[in-house]
Amino acid sequence: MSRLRENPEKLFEVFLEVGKPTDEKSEPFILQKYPPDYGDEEVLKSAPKFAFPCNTERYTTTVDHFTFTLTDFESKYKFGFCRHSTGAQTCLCIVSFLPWFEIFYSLLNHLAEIMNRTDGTDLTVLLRTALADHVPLPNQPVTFVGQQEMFSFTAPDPSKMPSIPASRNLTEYYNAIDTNNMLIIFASMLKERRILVSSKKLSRLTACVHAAEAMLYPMHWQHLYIPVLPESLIDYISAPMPYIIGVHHTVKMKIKNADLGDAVVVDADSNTVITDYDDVDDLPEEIESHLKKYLKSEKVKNSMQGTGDAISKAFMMALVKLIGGYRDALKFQEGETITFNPEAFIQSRPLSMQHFLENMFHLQIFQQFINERLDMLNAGKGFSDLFEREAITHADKLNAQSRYKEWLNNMKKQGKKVQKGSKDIWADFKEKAGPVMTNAVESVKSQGKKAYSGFRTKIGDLKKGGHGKYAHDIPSSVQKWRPPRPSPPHFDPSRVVSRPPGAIVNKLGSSNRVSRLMVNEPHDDTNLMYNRVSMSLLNDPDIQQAMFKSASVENLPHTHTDSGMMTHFYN
Amino acid sequence: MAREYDHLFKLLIIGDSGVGKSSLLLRFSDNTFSGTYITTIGVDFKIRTIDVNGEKVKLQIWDTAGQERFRTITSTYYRGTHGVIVVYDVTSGESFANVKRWLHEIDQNCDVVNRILVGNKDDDADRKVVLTQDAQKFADQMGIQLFETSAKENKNVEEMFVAVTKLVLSTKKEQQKKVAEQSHDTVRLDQRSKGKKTPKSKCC
Repeated sequence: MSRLRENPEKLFEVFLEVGKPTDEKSEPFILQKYPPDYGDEEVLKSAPKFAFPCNTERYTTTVDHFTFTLTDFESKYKFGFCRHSTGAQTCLCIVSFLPWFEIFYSLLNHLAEIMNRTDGTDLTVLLRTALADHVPLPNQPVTFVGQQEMFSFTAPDPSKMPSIPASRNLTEYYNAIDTNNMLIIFASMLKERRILVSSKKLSRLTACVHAAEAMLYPMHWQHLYIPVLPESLIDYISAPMPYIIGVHHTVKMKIKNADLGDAVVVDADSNTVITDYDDVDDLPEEIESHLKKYLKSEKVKNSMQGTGDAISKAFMMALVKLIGGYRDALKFQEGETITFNPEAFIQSRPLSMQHFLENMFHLQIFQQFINERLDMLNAGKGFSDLFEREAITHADKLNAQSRYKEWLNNMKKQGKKVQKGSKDIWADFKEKAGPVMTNAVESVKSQGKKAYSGFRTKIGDLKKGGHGKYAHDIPSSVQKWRPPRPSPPHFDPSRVVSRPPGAIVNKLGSSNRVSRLMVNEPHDDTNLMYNRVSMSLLNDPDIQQAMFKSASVENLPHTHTDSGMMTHFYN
Repeated sequence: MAREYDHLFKLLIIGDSGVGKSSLLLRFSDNTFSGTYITTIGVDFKIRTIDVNGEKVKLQIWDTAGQERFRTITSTYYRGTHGVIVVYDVTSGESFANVKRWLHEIDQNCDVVNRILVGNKDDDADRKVVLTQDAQKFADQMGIQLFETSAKENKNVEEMFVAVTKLVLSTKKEQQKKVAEQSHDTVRLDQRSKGKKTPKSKCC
């Protein structure tokens, strides 16, 4: 479950100018704030400490942007975007619920410039304008006009993956940490370790933490998340639970080894990761080799000529391979909430992954991911984010291959017996074919409990689409009654084949690579889950198997919905 | 100079927000002036040293924000801890239901973690909805101790913390004893069974 606050009302909560501590013993302090009546004491008390999180002179050597994160009672994040300027004695800080790093850094630069030039009236006018508007929608261009100043930006598109150089965080992460070490950090996060990151530069430090977290998409880190920990809170390093904490290099020097314990220690300045664990080796081989292949430096560099999202994509695709099949284990019964069946999930995955996946159930990040998706489905909300789309494509590829083999075997076995009756079977299919069912993930889009009736309506709509469509969707190779050609890697997604009711129940327990939706056979006749085909041959188990495979979920129409789903690729 | 402590234990306190975890921790803590950071960085801890049979036991008790958003708290959360104080509010059936789920998860996936069940806000009989006998029955089922406390009236709080400290300490001693015995056994059996592995706990 994401830890971003949903639909914040304002672009930001407060703008602060924080004064640097005058000597070792004094505390940083607020010089000014806007709006002046901002009253969240917690933020006002903490922000100065986080704006100057350690005692070092290095603050002033270059302009430095970094983002601290506060966690509230509900475990939601507030981001504090900070700017230390060259030689300046103050830090400008914007606190917001929105993870719009680049936009706020740019706004801070702009504000700093205004403050250098004018007496501050224009600053106030610009900030007032910025707070007056609603939060812009994705991709919406916005311009704030002050007295003589203006500031323009385009609201980020949350469905875009972090890319280089567009994402400041990912770019810094890539500059600091090579992809081998990124892989170790990713694997450590997938084990929910205690992870400590350090750097001499606050910008590099917090960028690495934010970027590493974003690589977990579609999951979200659920434990302690402190991209920069002020020196005064150094004791929190000994927290026994999973965390990712960033500290300035000078603070790290003061940490006792006993407090670090088994933490994975990342030094972002020297590109080193120290860990007691073999978390990368523990990844399923397929996942590890995928990541090693797609994180190769030439691939990453090539990608920078274009989309720049090779790194984000490599990690996301690894998670598609690993957990994309969660959809297959959704259990869907009329009148009941959709549930997730862990055993079915694990059994549907390749043997080489099963052990790792069993352990994944003990991860808070995975549990929250499943719960989030279930909550959305059960609330009648659809979603089709990047991860879901890739998961479908991935499943299609797997099934295109396995289905061909399946067909070939079955057809060989059936031989003449099938050929004899074949004409009739397919004739009947042409008459009655309709979508058996579509993926619950996509089908449950209507409101609340109406979800199911919406599902039926959609089936009805599709049926109205005409029989001809379905007829030609049956593979031509089948119509001519030869085994299907090996070549088609993509089956027509609109192809629809019916299946007999009995076959499903038999197959649920035993099928392996088939993408399944656990649908229990309904008892009332009004239900349109299956079109009943009364053919004696349909009782033949091999025919059933063949039909069941061909009617697997991926073959059915996919309708990608636009939805309010936030995908949190804001970096 | 005398040692600051003989044992250091890290414990977790879990339960819905509003069951009084912070109040219990405040009662427990040596230093009532230390601020709280739970609403700043989502985590807080309190320290106290307790004397058990002449041994100094230093306890750190850790609390995190927003636990109620988890249907189950998974075993990785408990991995680095010696014990868990599981708190519900005797005036809230829902908080008890959550606790039951979480304890089942610990039971299934964390072999070694010491647990203690605490029904807090036990200071107004009229508002009590989680009956002692029900809670006791559940505690017996899970094989753990139950304490009904009131942080407000400082009732049973001290007893509860001492009990959990003793529990953790005795577990440590048992384990030490076991390890000693095992290493003794290993020496004896070494010739016959090489490479015998002690089963690793799933989360601790």
